[in-house]
Amino acid sequence: MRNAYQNKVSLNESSKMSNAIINTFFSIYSVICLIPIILVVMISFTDEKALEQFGYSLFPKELSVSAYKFIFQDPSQIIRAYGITIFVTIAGTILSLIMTAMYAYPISRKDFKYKNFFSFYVYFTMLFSGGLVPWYILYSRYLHLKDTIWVLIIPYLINAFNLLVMRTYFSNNIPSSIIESAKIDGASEIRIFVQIVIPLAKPVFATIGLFSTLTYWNDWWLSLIFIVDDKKVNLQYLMNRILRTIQYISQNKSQMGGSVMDTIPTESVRMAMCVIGMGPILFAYPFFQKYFIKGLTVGAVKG
Amino acid sequence: MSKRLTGKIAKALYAVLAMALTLSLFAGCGSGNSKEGASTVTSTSGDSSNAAAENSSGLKLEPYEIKAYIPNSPQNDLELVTAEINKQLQQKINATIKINMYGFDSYQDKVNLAIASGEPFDVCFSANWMQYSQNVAKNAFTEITDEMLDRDAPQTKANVGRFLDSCKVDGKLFAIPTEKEFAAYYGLVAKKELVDKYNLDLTKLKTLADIEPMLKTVKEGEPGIYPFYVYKNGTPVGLLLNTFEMVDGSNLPGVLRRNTDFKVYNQYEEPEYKEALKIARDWFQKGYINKNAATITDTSPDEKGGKFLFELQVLKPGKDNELAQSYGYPLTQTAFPADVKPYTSCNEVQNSMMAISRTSEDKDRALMFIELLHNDKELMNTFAFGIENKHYVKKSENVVDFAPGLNATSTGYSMVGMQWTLGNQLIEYTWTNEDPDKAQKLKDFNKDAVESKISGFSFNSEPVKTEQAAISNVVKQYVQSLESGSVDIDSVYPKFISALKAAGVDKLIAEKQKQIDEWAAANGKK
Amino acid sequence: MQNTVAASAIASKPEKKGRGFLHEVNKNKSLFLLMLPTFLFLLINNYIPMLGTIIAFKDLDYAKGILKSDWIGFKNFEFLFKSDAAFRITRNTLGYNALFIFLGLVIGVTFAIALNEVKQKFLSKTYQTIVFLPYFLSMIVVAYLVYAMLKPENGFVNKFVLPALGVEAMDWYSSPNAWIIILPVVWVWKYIGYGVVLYLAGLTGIDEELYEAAAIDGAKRWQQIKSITIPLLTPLMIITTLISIGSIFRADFGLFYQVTQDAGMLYQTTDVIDTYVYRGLLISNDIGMASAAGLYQSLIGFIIVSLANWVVGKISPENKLY
Repeated sequence: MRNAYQNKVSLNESSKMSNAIINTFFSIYSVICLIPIILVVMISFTDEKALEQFGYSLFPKELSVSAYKFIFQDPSQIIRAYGITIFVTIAGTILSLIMTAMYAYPISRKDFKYKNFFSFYVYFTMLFSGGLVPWYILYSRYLHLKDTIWVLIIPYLINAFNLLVMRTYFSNNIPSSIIESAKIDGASEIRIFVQIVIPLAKPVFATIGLFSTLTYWNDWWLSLIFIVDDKKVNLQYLMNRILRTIQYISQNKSQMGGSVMDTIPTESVRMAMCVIGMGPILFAYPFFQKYFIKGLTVGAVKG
Repeated sequence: MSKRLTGKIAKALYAVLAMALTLSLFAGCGSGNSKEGASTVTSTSGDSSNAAAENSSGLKLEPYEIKAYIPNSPQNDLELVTAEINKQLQQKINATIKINMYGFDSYQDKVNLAIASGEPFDVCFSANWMQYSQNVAKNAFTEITDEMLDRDAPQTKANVGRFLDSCKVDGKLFAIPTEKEFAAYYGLVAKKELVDKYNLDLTKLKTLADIEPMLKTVKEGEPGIYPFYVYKNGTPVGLLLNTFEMVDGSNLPGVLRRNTDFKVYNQYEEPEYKEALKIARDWFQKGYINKNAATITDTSPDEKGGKFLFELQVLKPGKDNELAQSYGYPLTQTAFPADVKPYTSCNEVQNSMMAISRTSEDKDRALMFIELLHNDKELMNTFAFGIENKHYVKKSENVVDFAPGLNATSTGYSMVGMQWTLGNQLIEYTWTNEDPDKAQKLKDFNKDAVESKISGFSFNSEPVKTEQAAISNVVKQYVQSLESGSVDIDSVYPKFISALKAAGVDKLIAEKQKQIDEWAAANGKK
Repeated sequence: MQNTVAASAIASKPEKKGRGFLHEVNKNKSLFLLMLPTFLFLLINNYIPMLGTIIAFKDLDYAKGILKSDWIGFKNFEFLFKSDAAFRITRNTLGYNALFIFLGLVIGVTFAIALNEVKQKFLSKTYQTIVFLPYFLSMIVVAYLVYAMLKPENGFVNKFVLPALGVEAMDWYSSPNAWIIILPVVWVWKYIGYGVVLYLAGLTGIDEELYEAAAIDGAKRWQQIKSITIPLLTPLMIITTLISIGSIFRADFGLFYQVTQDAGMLYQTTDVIDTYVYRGLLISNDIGMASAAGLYQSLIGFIIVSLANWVVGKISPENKLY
């Protein structure tokens, strides 16, 4: 017994050599991924004059928090925007997960006769869209959701890609034998779904949950299109506004009837906005991560 | 799944969708119910005061809410200022206002969506660089007839005068231009410190060759300074725009030569264009032009860092001062060639206007509002700068500054830097850092302007929209690289010309020529 | 009642023909009930606005509204095929997207498996987090960073990297060929974390007992990966690939427009359908033409994905997308 166990551990893992190679590779790759992020953070703390003189640098000569001071002149707006983003992200992710799973489960069942039709029904929405204008008319004039917080949530409830990934996970990782035996025990479909399928599908819930969280957190477009009252805009829109303004002005500068230079803030402010925009969400990643990592439970999966 | 079933489901779905479509989605789209005539206007916001005001012709006015789209970054105190504006509006035209204020990051999207979705609103800022003529062509705006002007905006009609024609499309007026400079010329803005240091005489510049020695001097004496700073559409070649007149407000091929006849040219094939390209290339290779000239999008670090001697600008009196405020050091300006006269065409007038929406429920009131904005000093200044003693303080009768302790970013309301989008700059207060004679200078400038022969002509691009899309891409691909001198002329320029041909430039030129000829004939111009 | 439903499902008798959809609904009430909210949502949010594609065939006039505007046939589509750019944008769009699909699949799966093999769980978690980080940056910011690296005068690459290698400084924004490499690199850097997470979740779902059994049979680790991990990940790989193929005619606008700074000299290798349409319609903002372009992209994507799905159906029917 002990022998078998040892045997299993050694064969069940990669060799020391390949472990070392993998580690080396990912250490280097991690640095490549990190440097630009650190660069953004450093620029946000660099003195503007130093930026003009020396350009971007990982080791700025003069540090400064003036960019953050500038942004937080009026913290109430940023705090409010954080509040909206957090509410929208949490409510949206939960709702989205529930609706996605409720649809993905039936079409994942091999014994469900119309699974192909209903899969197609979802996938088709990814291929074709009516364009912005009809969709906007629907939301603003018929659903009357313009300038409400719901319009920041509803449009992203269903993502066809996420739904089909979840379907695939259900159909491949939930043994149909479990479902069948539950049926024989007299469990209703709903009960099977809630008590058996969902607990077994934690990794895919975590993954889709993460994707959905990011969709909501990073969105600024819905705010741009639908929000009228500046008190209802979300954080990313607030932060992106400046970047978009610069782009717009540089495109039309030579034709505009006047100059609008004053509204363009410094580079360090732009990067500080980027940091503020992505900061908190970085902590969401580990929260989801623990569900799709095998963690420390190797060998103890099935009780 | 059996085919029959799919068919059934599809049929059922189709029925549901078709019903939804006909019942709701587009039903209300075309129903911009217009109510012509001031005497028949009805109210949409009847709950406000019933005190009926009278307009200039003595008709009773019901309360009405004007919905306006204004480009400006969102302001914290917008509600306060709106309340103040409402006080004035209620008294004068018994109206209140709902101001939709959006910065340039979203203004165009929001207005286009409002238009496309048939949303009822009254007035919006529009401009030739913001699809004004396309919106007119697609019936987004209301025609402002002569009767309407006489009835609701006589003062503005008198003030704007001949420039109103420049806004017309097919002889019809769809928007009122912001009163500011109605003319312009292209020229250079120079860093004053360097001009003084090297004793550069800017008053006699005639050709690009005259500038070159200055560029050379500064290049040698000031390392780190770009003698000629180039950004998108701001290249040495751009100075030729004092020779040509754009027909459609864009840099697509097809221009007139100023002060000559009605012949349409492809400016990119004209000899002086090619000549200018060679000079730009030469300057680029000599290091007079910034190396990133072909790709630069954000010029503010270099401009605020004072890293240039010259840059191209569209000029008016006091432009150097205006820019100096935002760059943070003194500048000086010169026309190029130095003796060029300010020129007025629809390009200069149409770059800032206010249009009345087709969906406005009271078009007369909308026009009355524009009239007030153009002539009521109190209203205009409230709109532009907020509430006296809260957002700004008066230094003298006409000169103002931010209220103590406030600046451009900390104030709760300001359109400083964006006032040119609105109303009448000639009745605005001037700021302590501005020339107090600004208004008079602008008036004189407008008076002296040479008027375009095709003032009042507006190009309808609809027949050539396919070509226009393709040509836009070709122009974007080549023009900035060529004009900034970043690429080899001999190998790239011929490709540019042949790509234009392939994209249908001849058809575009012919269409422009045809429309101009027809217009000239119809209007008895020669 | 429930028992009979369950029983019939277990027996999974071949359904009699002629028994309609309604019968099926009746039989699987609960399943249909589960699906109903999402079904209705898609109907309203996606299918109803889809009727707006008629704009692509109309000369839109706001005064007449969408329905009553004049029909103009295929005129709105012409600009897509008119110029000699048509070949260029089609080739670039298809080429880059095919490459991205391939890279996303190969690198994504490899990274996920490799990360799963790291013995030190803390390190594995750290790597994962970091690999995912670039996904948080918006394309506009990525464009700034790439520009900081590549700008002609004092960009990082021209100032430090190339001199260190003894290579002469290069003008990246007028060298179209370089972007055939730069764009995929930026794409992988920014997006690969997404795929890695996806495949990690797939890996986590694999029953550990399978490996244990294989180990007892003496299978080496790479053999286990080959014969257990990869086959079990295949359905996920197929589904993500199929879905991406449907969008093969749509390009990442931010990547091709912002990251390239829309530099004209690069169009040969950077111009894609989306950027071309955007530029072409900047002046006119023609909704009809925009709609036409979108419809064209959808249709081609639909045709290609239908073919791919059909092929998958021939090989392994259970992995079909629909």
